[in-house]
Amino acid sequence: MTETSTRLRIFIRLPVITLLIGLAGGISGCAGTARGVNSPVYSHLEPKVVSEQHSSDAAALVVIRYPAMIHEYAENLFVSSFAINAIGGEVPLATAKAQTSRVAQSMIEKSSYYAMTLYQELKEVLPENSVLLSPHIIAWDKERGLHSRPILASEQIPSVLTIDFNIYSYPDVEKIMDSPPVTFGDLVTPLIVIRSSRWVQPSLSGLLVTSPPLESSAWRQAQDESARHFKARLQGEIWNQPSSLDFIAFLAERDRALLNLPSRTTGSGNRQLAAIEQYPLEKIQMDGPTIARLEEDFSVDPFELGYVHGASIRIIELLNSIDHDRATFFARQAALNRFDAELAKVFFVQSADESVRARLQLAEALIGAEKEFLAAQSDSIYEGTYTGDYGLKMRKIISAEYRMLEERRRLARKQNITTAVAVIVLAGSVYGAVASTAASTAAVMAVSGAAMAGSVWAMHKSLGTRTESEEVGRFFLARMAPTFDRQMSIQMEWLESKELITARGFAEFRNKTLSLYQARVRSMTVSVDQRCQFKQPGFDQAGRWYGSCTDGLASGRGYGLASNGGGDTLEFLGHTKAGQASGLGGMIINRRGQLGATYYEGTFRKGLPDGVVRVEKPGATPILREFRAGKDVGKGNSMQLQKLSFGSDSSPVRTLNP
Amino acid sequence: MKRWLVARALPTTLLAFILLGTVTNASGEINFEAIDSLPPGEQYRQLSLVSLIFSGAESELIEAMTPPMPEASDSGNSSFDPDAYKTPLTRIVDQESMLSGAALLLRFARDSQDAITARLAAINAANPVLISMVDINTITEDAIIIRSAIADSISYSGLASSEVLTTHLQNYRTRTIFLRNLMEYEAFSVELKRLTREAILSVGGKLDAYQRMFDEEVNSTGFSRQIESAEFIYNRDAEFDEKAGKLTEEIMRSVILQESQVDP
Repeated sequence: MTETSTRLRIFIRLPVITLLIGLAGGISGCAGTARGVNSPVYSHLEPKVVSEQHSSDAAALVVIRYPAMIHEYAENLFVSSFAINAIGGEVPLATAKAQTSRVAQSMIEKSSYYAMTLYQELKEVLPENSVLLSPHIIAWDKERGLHSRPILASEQIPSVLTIDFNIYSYPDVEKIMDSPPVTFGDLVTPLIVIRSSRWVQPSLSGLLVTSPPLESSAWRQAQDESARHFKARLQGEIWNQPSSLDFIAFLAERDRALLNLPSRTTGSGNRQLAAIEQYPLEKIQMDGPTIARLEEDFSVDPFELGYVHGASIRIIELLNSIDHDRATFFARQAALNRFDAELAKVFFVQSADESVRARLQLAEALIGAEKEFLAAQSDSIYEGTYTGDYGLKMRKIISAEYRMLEERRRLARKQNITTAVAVIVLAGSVYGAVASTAASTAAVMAVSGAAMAGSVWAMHKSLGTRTESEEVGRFFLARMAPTFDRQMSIQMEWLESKELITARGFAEFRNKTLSLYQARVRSMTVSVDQRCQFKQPGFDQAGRWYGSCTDGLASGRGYGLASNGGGDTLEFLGHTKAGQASGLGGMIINRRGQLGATYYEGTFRKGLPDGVVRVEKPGATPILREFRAGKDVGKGNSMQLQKLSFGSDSSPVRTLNP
Repeated sequence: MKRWLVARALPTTLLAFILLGTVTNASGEINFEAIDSLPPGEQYRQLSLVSLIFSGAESELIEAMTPPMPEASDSGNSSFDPDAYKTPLTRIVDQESMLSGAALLLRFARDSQDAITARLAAINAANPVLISMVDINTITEDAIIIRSAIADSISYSGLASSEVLTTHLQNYRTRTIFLRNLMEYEAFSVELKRLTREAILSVGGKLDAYQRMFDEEVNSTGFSRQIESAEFIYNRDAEFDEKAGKLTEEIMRSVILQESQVDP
């Protein structure tokens, strides 16, 4: 059923703990208003229709990544990192309380739950099987430190956009009701990072939207990955390690500098500007009456109303503005490389040869089938997490949190400090009792009942000495704590089992489809010579060329990389002649020590821009310039600009009808 | 692929020459009246076949295959009727007749593209169920063999001597390969869909089974007992301390028991 040998330290007892933390926080911050914004930035966006655009069947439109589980080895580091890197204030590690770990845990649980709303909303408006879920497990090892990895293979499917989603709550429960961001009851603070392929916005490594606290770390992670991809490609390999969730990458950092990155605010006028859109940190206040009814009726999702509807409009705007073939080009090549290295090499040539077209059609159908399989698993996760027992309990908790919060607000209005203080003591006793429970999944599951019974007992004692707390006591759902506790532990076990079952099923499926592919595939009349030279002026170290070749020199279409002794790197996709960029192409140049890259797209000659070229630099609006042998000689004529095509010339024909 | 090609080679070759022979043996003209008497399904099949044979044939190539079409003197005798040609094998060795027949067929297809499309659409609209049962793969297989025969005949005859005609002939052959690949893709796609559906159902079934275990676990006596315990503790009475103590002890015994179990 579960692999206890992995000893996953699955977070359990979260709902009730979350509840209690919120209770404590709510009471401790007597002066706090516990209010959020009810008109978030995305709520002003006009609904958009998804534009029809040719996309490969092998690509998804959106992959939603979110934290879902944590490995026991990572727990301590995760919690301390959470406290040290608190968003909205300073929480010295020495003062971090046992409750901090519960807040950290609750963050994972609620991220899992709220991510489902985003998934469902996007699924409704985007084509079938084009939205995938990618739940992550937070882990630790000595090489990577704190990191996360996906538990499904969704990120192996090329995707136009990747959205990192999680909610946030401030770690110090005693200040939780002041101004820091919090997710409790009707309040929710989403953190997002949206990225695409680096060829979509080359100057900024494809980073499109970030929550401000995550911006610098997301940038550094994107840069690190670009460097790894470059290094691997230079050696004729492909970097396949999926990136950590950006929130985890943020937590893994210590004392890293905040970077002054080119950014723009949501809704600002110039969307052409090569800048990272900042989605502000918003403590969103969802519709109270809807939350109050959530236990009985979840046909209306308050998170959808409060945030997701607007956010999905922005996501659709992004999808409409991006060339999907451009966004998935390199990911498609990497996906092909998993099972057909020969085709993957030829892919860069973009040959119109029938033998290549036919093989590519089969290969992309194979990836499309994997996408369909993973879309079905995403649906299954949604069903289990949102409409299943887990979702039911989460809604109960959110409703209960809301009622408590409302009570807290009522008390604040009445200035009933005595009652408030009583409940702090009450909640504190609970944390003390539950914060030291066992390590392994099995042990946690077994001990939870006893631990919680003890907790409730302790709580009862507190209640006994604080008769004035009776008023609040009627909201006290801790009497159901073991129920939630048990439900949650089984739910997490369900997720773990799902990972195992799905992984085994997926491996078996892959074997079968690969066997089918190998049985049907024919040879190609196009091949590439890997010993081909690609050299660019100013980049004198050995480069690599993936593409057409004549007399040992890059000649024709392909993808090339080069570097120099100063640490500068160059990537080129397009046409070459005599080993150098020549003809239509796109070139990314990364200078060491320079923030971001410079991107040239247009015509080249002898490795240099020559003709009308579009130039993109970080923080600037892309411009058209006229070049002569690499020298900028003035403004370029847009009518003369040739755009680089990432589309396949071999769009599959779907019917045999004459 | 090769197996079905071999298996179908003879009848399809016959069919090809029946079609082409029809042309050469008649007045030198093809018209739609010739197939009017055929059942709709057969009409659809023959017109589809003609379209597929024509696909990718450039005008220069068609014109190079045969002299200009003679004056039609007895167009009423033109026919698609295979029964009119009882000895098609006699034509297999007659490359000239074949090429001229192919040229007439291709010319007819080129000049009547819109009419053929309209006819196909009309037949389809009038007989949707019947047409849905037409095996397009079989027609494509026939078309591939006929196209290959035409291309080979052109090649053997030396008609495609110029660079332009060589290119056109190569394009015609490429189009034939495209049709073959498309057909293979369709077959691959069907099999892939079956595997995908099976895999989704298989994994879904296993997850459903786990879900049932989950439900049973949630609804177990032990689980209910846990809820009752919590409620009991919270709803204190005069004997609370004593009962709660016993309950805690009971739960702890259970924990110790579970923890002392050796993992299988």
